Amino acid sequence: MSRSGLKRAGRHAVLIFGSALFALPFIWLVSTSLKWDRELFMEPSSWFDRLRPRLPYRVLRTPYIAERDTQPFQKPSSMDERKWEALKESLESLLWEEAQQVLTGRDYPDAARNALRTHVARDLWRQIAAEKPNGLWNESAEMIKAEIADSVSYEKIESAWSRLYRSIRLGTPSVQSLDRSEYKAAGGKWNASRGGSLISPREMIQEQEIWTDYQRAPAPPYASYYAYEIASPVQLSGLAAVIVPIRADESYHHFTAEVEMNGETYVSKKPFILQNYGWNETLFQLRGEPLDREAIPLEKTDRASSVVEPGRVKIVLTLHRAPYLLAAYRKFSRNYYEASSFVSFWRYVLNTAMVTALSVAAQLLSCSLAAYAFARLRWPGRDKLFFLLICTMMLPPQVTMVPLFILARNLGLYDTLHPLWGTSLFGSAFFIFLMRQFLLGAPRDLEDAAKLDGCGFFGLYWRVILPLVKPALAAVAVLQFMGAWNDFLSPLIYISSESKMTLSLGLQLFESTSGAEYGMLMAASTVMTLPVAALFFFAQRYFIQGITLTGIRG
Amino acid sequence: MRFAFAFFCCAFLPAAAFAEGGDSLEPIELVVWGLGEGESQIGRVAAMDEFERRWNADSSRPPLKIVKSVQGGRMNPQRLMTAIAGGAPPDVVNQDRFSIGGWASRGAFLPLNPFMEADDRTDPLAVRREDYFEACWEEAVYEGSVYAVPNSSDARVLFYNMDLLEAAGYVDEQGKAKPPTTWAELKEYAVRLTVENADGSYERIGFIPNYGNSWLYLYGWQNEGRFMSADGETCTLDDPRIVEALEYMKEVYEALGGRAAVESFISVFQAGALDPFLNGKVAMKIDTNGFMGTVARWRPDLRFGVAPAPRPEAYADEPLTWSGGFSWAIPRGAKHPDAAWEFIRWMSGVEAAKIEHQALQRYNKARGRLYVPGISANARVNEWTLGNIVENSRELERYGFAEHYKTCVRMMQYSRFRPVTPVGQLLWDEHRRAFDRATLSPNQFTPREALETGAQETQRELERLKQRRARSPMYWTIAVPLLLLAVGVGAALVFARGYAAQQRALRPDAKQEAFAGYLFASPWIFGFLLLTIGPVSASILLSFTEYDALNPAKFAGLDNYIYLTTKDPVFWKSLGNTAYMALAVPLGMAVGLGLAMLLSAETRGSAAYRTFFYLPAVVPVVASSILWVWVLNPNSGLLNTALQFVGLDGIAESMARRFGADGLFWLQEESLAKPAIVLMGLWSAGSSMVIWLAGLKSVPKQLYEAAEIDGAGRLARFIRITLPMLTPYIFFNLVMGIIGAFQIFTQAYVMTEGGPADSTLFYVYYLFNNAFHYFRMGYASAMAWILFGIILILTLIQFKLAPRWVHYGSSDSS
Repeated sequence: MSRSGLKRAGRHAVLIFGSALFALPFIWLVSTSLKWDRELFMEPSSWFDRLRPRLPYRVLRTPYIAERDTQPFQKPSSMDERKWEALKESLESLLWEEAQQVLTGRDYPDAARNALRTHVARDLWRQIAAEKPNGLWNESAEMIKAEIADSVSYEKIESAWSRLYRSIRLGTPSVQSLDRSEYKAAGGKWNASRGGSLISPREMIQEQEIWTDYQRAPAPPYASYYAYEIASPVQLSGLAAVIVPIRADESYHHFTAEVEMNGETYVSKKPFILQNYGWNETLFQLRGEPLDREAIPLEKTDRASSVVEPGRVKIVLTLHRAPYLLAAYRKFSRNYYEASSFVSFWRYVLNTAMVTALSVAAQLLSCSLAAYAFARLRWPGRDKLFFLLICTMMLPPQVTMVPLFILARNLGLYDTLHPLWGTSLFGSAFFIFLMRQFLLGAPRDLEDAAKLDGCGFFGLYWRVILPLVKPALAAVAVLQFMGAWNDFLSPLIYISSESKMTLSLGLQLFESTSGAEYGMLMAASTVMTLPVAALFFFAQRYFIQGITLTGIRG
Repeated sequence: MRFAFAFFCCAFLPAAAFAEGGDSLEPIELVVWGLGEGESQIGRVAAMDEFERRWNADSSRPPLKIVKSVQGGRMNPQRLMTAIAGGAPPDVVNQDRFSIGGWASRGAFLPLNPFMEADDRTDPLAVRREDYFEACWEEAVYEGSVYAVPNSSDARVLFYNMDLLEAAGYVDEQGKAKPPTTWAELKEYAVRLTVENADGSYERIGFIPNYGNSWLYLYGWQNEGRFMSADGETCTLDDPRIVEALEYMKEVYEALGGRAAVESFISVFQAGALDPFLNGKVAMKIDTNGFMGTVARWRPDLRFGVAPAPRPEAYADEPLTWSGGFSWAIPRGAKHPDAAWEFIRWMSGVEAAKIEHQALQRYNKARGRLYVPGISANARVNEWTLGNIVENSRELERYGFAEHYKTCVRMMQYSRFRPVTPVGQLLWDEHRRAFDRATLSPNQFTPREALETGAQETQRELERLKQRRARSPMYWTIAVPLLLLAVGVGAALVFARGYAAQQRALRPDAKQEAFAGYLFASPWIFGFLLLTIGPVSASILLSFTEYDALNPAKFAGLDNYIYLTTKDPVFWKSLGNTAYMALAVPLGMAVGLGLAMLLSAETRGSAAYRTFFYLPAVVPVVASSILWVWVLNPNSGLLNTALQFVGLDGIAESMARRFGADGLFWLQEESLAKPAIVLMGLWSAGSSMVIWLAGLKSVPKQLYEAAEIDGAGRLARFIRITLPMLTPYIFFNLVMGIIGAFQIFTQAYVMTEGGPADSTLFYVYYLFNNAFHYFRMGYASAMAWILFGIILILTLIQFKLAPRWVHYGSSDSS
């Protein structure tokens, strides 16, 4: 490679490293926005892990073992290497033996057996190693083993089991009447209604576990059916919703529902996605105002139903396999969807965009005019006024906050978006200063020539100065855009109602003193950051163009 | 000018389009602030919607619409204060109860007794004092009047990790974990449960006195200390019992290895997800019952116990806790006080609580989370919650939350609460400051000295408030004309001189040029007259008054200025902190210039590179502050990891030690917090890079070519050409950088809250606290003017020196 080639490569290496360093906040922002609850909580083993959102499990059968949620056996830091090698060998069988005492009564598909053994043992070790004093590891191997075996408790096994053994379970449905009272359905059971569908043989109280192998599907999308028939405790005409407790397994597959009664069939309008790992009270709503934001509406179809007996309701759940790409999309887009329904997100985007566009336009006009006046024209008091202008930059905004608020209120502008951009009409000292400095360093030749041609002052401004300060205009536009886009203080003070809030205020809604919605916060922040970054990307090119164009002179 | 006119119209038209249209029906718009952030608002909104529905079902009443807003009392006091002072307050505000005394004593809220007396007491919605826990109710009462109806509450208890206690042998007869009950035991547990790694860093800490939610307040009460005298006239922060409590806290920190080291260990993601208690990094903590929600969400299977927080031996048998929480208040000047009271009655009742809890439960269940309800200040609500939510949930029972919840509710009857006083916020800050001083700078302050200083500061404020009554009102009728006269005379003098000079120039087009100049500058001049002169004059006058923004100002002469400069040590401290940041400005400039030089070449991908370098400047502060806490984490943070990677950690650490730090604990050490903030600033140097780039582009290429022909080296070209040609940009960045440094606020506000030990309490932050937390608007105005003076002088000096080194030549001078 030539020397200049090497040099170029070196330069790029430096730039790439620098970019990675400086883009880190953004990368982190995006990656955090792709994580969900427990993933945020996991303490990552390395820096790369911290920045890498995890793909969902590729779930081919349910139940499955969450293999990635455990880590290989780790040596306690103070233990001797050789002793560890010897101990490590026996750990799995030692711990699994202990675990068996609790787990023997439990049924699980044979296919899961080996994985279960390895991973339950690993998880137990993690739990036990963390709570042992360092002194223990200096004891004899026998002593350590005995101590470990002793430490395996019912709770620890339960904890490992519930973390690792992921299954879909269905609970006893209940119904909700139009006056919002809830009634549990008595008795009954979920039945697998077609071949390939299976219900665990294990007897459980008020819940049943689904066993299914998606790969044995006759044709995708694979589906299996589960039905439950109940006698509704309320009049069918007063029935608002059917509630099914579903324990999801974080496989991102989904259920659809059909409810049959009175010879009619209702079908769910959107799927219930198995995206959590835990119980969900899934609300399938028949009629009435949406009971809450999570409700899944049901729609009447033409299909007749065999359920005609008065008071009988049949619920049929169909389990669908989501292709892996869809599962991944569902996982990664989750925070974005959640964030946009958590608050009136798009309303805020619109408000912010409005305010920003208006303030940028106003600022460009008023500042360039004033900068021209200050830099090029001679008029009495100019330098004194410019001095005052510099002074206003030094005023902390808190000084004028209350009086300005009173002014805005008396003008009837309180709780409107106008105060947020209106001040830009009067220019900002900072930008005027910026442009004036710019003009002072710019050549006068063109102006002199235009003046000789008899051009008026406005013509000069319009034809000569504006093109000349394009780069500065671009800079002001970018800076003002950012300022207005991210402004927090003015909307906080001038806006009272939720519908007029801007994004920067809206972001606060995701944070609270106890447990913020981090994933959603980061998703919203990402959406908020992108336009600014994009603007910069494009504007800076223009900005450089502007400079090279104005640079053509002798 | 036609263009400008058209432009103005274009700018206004769309704006007019989204202005609100008037409604002829005169419906009530009930403005409610402070729903609380995060998920808590979901429950409130559901209950409010139901209120709206019920109200509107009665057709004899005017239609009502609730205008909701999440932001409110605590985090954003400036919002409520500007709104009340400006005459546009909300109708109801959900206010942190401990601040009720401060606001009520200044007449910001309506007393609620008349509403309560008018109510039918048998009405199920009636607000009855006996339904409420005493501590909650009394915290909203000032001088005999009720100013707010408490809603939420909490109880502080000891959380302990059962596995860890059992492993360490702290068990009862049945082999179950046994929590400590006395201070002595607590300290012993704390040390025994702490595990250190081979390299001396912590693997786990047993217990940290002020981690979670306890503060000196709780320890003070545990030792039966009192923070204010019974008559509210005297601050007794230096009560010997409180001194003992602080000494105890300090002892525990010292036994663990010092507060900075301990706190750096736990500085992770903020509260919530990565709470070290959840993963066994901390064995015990004192926190509110709300922490159960965190456990339920992230680690429901954690085996933990809840017990009353330990007390000194002598009182070990008497449980005690501290309760805080929020409350509904009606600001003075509210437009619909009667509807507001209806609203408060509804929101305080069992019915609303029911809707609230159900909505929250569903929200959590839809996300696969366990829902642990909070505690209400209303005992009837708690009864309902206990019976219908807590005891009704198999999972809450199974994981033990139900039992813990009941323990917390039981503790409510032993609650203490922060004193109701006009100086509540100041007392809080001083109590915190005393704790910081005693634990972070033990060589300068003993606990007693630290508390005495705090007590004096608070007492002085109490005296000032008393004196206030005796002060004469501000003579606005004299002051305003006087000021106007001064401004007018000044302006006339300036302009007359300028005009005369202009006349002398006698150029033919001078008049026309002057007209154009005024015209073009007129938007700014107009804005200056309207938006700056007025407010600034007001604040000048206010700086000579005592003004709390809620009551008429009283004339104070030069008192504010004298007090600031002679009696307020925090003023000097904050000024010093700010000066430090100003000194770091050249560093930021150098980095910005370096980046710009690296990126100035137009090569493939330069647009993308520039954008990447610019990114830190555009990530929202709310998000990036979370990132920063984690980057600066001493153990696993990016910064220390990187230092280790390049092998500089040893040098950096020994340097840190020379500055009096115990290690590279960035945000926990007094001496490192400011450098850490400087470092954060460097990361967003991309914003100044834009200006540098523009500057570099303006350097004519021929200059470099000529120099190269002359055989000038890289460095020589930089020094002889680049730097001189950049001087206008250097000047600009310097001036703006210094102004910016003196106004620095956000970073400290969001990340450090001024700590540790006031080391990041910057000038404007302190000004902000004075204005909006301590109700000292006049004092804050005086501070603003001093700041203005300082910046002005610095800028003037720079402008005076500028001609010596700033080169404004264009290419024709080359």
